Amino acid sequence: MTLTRRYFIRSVGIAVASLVMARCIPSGGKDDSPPGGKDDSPRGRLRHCWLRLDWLAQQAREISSPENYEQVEQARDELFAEHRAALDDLVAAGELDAAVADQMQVAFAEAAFHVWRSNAPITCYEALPVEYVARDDLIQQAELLREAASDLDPAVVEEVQAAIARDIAFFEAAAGPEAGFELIEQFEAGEIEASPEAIEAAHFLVDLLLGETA
Amino acid sequence: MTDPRPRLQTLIFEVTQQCNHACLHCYNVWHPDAQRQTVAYPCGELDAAGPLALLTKALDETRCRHVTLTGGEPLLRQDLPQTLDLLRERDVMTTIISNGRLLTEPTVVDLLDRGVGLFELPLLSHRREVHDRLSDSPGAFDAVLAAMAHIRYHRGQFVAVFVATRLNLPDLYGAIKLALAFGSRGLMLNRFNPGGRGRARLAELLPTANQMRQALTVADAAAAEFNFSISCSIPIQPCLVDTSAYPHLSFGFCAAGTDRAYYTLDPLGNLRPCNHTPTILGNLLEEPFTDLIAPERMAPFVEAVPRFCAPCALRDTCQGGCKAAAQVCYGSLTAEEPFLHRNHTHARPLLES
Repeated sequence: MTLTRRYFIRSVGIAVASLVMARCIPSGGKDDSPPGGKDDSPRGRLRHCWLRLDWLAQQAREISSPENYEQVEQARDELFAEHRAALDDLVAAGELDAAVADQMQVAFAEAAFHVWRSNAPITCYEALPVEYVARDDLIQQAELLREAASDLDPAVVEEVQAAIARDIAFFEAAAGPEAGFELIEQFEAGEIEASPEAIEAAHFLVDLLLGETA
Repeated sequence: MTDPRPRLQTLIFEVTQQCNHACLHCYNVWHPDAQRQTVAYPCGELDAAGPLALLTKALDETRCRHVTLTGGEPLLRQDLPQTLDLLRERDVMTTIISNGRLLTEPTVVDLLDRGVGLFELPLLSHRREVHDRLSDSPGAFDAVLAAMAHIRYHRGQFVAVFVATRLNLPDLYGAIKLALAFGSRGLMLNRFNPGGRGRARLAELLPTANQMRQALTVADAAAAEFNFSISCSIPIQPCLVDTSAYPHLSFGFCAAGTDRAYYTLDPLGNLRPCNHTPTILGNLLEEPFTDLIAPERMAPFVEAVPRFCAPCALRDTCQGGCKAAAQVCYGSLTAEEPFLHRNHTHARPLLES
């Protein structure tokens, strides 16, 4: 299975969100800063939008009524708009290519949507997928599978066991010196489809949040 | 300039009315005994180009970033891949609701390649005989577990759907554990909502409020024990069940008329306020989406609340539960829907202070 262009930048956005806030769960810390933040340069505003994802998650968790739900959706849209405006300023100043800016907006929109969706309550027929599986969850899965296995088709059990084993191995590799090699191999093999703009957007984003271009 | 098109959080598209299972609890509105209407629900589907034209029009006329493909059984529609390709080209996230029977490994790989982000699959029990009985289809249990295994192996995502009926409520904990074992990203705990074929089995399947409380206690404890996301999306009236007693579960209410509504497009292009109601707002091939969901058309559906709920403080949120179930079972959107009707003598008052 290859990663499409949209999925590449989407994955970048969600991965960055996970750097900003562990597993996209609100930290519980109080953020009383104004929406624009203190650094009102375009880069500062951009950076602040990403840091505000924690606030968005908290707001989504506190939804208690349909009216409240719409307010939080509106807050999310305002965050999109603020991010877009900061990008437009960078483009106007000649500091960022318009196509790269578009990719960064996709990354942010996907990240914000993911954070919001992971924390807001559901309505009819709206599932609540969580896109991360921690190592502990995999071990728990393996134990539960072992418990249920006796009455199930052995081939089916074996397939799930193989998937769990593979994912646990990935966690272990991710903690070791080989981390990232699989991704690089996939990239070099052309299995990850990403445009030059998306790659540049990903670089810009990482630099922005690490402070190197802030 | 603000985009004037209506924003939809999700659109449900019933790609076919055909199904290869005969679930006892099925709510599909086109079943002959599904409704108390003088006119039968229109049956049939468009030819190969039809679904693409319909979806293109729906996406052109709305701001919609998520489409759920359902049926019937959507995999029975031969041109489903083309529909998925269109959605992928339009950057629309896709969910498929399936019974899993046709989700062989090559099919799963193909669907994931075509951008299906989430599968919603039934898991009605951890016991084969119970799942198969509720599906009225021998082999359904093994088929859905195989589908889950393929999705898990190929790094897809699925959520398990447990339809809570009198027949399977005791199996809830076992089903939760099995869903977890197979890598489900969550569980949708939907109480049986009578409609479609299920209307004929209302008494046999509909749990009491007390049975639902017990089930929710089990689910809440399991959600905490396994750090597992469990959502109850079919409305449960707070006057019947104090939902605040289950802090690890999420509860949903009817979203009709809001931008969280799940407008439902049938295979012929008829648009409905939701997938449980036979109310047709109009046909998308004949009218713009905006006209179909205009407030004057939606008002009878949106504003309907049972008289019993008039003094309730949570009237606007809860709306009496599922009004589509009331319509299908008792012929009126303002009737008390079956779960409320059968339990309301035990309702705790939630009057405005």
